[in-house]
Amino acid sequence: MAENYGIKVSKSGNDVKTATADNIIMTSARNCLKVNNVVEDTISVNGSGYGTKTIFHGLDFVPFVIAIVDSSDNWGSFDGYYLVPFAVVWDWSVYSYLKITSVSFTLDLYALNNPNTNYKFYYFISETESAT
Amino acid sequence: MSDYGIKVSKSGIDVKIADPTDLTYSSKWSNFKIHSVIDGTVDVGGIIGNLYTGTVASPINYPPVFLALLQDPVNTTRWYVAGGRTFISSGYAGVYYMSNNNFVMAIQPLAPGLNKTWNFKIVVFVDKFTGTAESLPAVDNYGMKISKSGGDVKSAKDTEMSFFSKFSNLSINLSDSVSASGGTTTITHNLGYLPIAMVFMREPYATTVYDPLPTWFVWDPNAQDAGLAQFYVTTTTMVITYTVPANNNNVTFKYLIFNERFN
Repeated sequence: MAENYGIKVSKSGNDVKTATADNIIMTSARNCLKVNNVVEDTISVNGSGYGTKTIFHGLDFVPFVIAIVDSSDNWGSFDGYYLVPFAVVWDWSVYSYLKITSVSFTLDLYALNNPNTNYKFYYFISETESAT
Repeated sequence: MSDYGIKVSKSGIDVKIADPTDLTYSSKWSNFKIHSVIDGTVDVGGIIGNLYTGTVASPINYPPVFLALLQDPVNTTRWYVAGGRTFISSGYAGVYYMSNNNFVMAIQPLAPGLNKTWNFKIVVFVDKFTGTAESLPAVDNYGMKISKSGGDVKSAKDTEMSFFSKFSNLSINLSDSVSASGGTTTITHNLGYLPIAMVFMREPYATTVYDPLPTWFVWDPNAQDAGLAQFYVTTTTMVITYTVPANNNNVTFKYLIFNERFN
């Protein structure tokens, strides 16, 4: 680490004055990924297995989002928590897109034969801009 | 900005009036805290089109935030950030978390020669998506701890901490936007290790919209122009590859490369 100012916290066993960047837990010289609390929401898919939900985040920049869809008891042998985006090999997909005003999540599950089902999903929206 | 807690602004910015994006740290918000990086493998057999899976146990007992990286079995210096339907050396791959506390990497080979052992890594965060706060395994009374607003730092669970020196946070090393052409763009980071990274693609037909990568897209108004955008990291670069859209005018990627590492 070149800068000798601000707040730096190193990993256990590393000298904070000489630690390399990957051994620093936190430094005020670098922006952190600041996130609000987790938000739980629901997407309802229709008779064709399609559903979408848009959240207006109220920020004036494109944020960073990590989301996961809870299908812990809907998809049989594929029960689990799926990172967004997800669309492996079973002809269904979970995806999102971001705007400066909103983030939208979509489930397109036509091949899973679970129409008219409500799915919980969880997401973080950052207070850090995704990039300048 | 509320005037409470701990705030650290970027160099040259008055912390008292700084916008949230000019704060490198604020106790108002949580930070993703890295619990550990775990390794897994998938033994892919020789049946083209078959689905092969590899399972690795989560070190914690609730659904956490996680990220995955999958090694290209042919070009082994390349590690793809895997969401779902990443396309690597003629094979599809995706990762998910099972309710029984296992992570699963699923791979479908679509060409000969991929019957190998595929390696993957998963970054497991302390932060969780669902349920009540957790402690891992108990609140430790050492180091530097900052609880989120309204929480008692002496009793707050690990998942209720804004910052805890027990865990690494994600901190941004490089962040920028790049205009791309030709289907590939390379960013040099020279970190010497595989960094955690994120990329978002501005849709070329709806230019106020960004998609997180990897993504399969059908993006023109008539749903005729489709392709794939994804990226991989090496120890010196991050390479974004994408199917060139028909209008090839507005392909822009926004990326974040973090100081924290997969390996």
